[in-house]
Amino acid sequence: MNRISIFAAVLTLILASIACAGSVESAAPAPQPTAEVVSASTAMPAPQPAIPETRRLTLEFPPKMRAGVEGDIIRLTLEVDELGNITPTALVEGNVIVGETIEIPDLYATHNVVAEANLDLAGMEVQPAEAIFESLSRGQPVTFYWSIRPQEPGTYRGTVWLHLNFEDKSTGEKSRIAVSAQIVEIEAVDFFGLPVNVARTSGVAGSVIGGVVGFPFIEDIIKFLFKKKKK
Amino acid sequence: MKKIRLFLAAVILALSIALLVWAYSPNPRETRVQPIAPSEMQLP
Repeated sequence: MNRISIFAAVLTLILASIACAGSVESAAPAPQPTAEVVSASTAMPAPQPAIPETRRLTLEFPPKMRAGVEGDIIRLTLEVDELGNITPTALVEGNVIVGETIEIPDLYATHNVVAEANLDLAGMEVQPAEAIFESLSRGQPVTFYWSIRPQEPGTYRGTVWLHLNFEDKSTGEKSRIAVSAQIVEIEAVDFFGLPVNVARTSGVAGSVIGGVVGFPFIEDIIKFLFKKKKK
Repeated sequence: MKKIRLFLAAVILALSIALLVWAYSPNPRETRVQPIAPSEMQLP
């Protein structure tokens, strides 16, 4: 009985010391996580150089057009969005606002930027067929035009691509990114099987014939109208 | 006879004007606007 009580007392002492040691460890300041936080903040990557302006890409095309000899224009414009740089901020009185300025390196200062546009439209005559390159400079818009001409009626689908090419001014290193790929669908129609040039010729010829056939009655028509007015 | 001729002239004229309107009317245009943020125009 005596041995059991001694064993119980020793066990209690051991457990109590373990518990105290644990509480001391948890109460003590831990320098390790702080060091980790510091190392994490210093290891943050520097922001990549970017074009310091918000731009707006506008694509204008005819969703429906006449097949045959007639052509139309597809226009792609990359212009500066004047309102794009404004960041809306809500201010509440009494609140403390802490901000940090992150300077994004200006890409125009370090690189030559060239916009490249391409129109892939299967089955339709496209001019120019190859990619168009336009130098992009600060605040200046760039516009690309394509002339399209569907020979046959039907639905034509294609993609308008816009890439940006960067060339490092100091090293000459080149890189390229895709900015936009927009799918376009154009329907080419005819007039009940009549191509547009036949429809135009028939329209002109029909007007002349209709005028000639109806001409002898012009006098009667004028007399009829005047009679109605007098009444 | 006069009435038939007048009717024929009206039909031919109406048909011809319809053809001319279809053939010379401008194509409808569709415009799509897409804003591009500076983060989309940075080095890869």
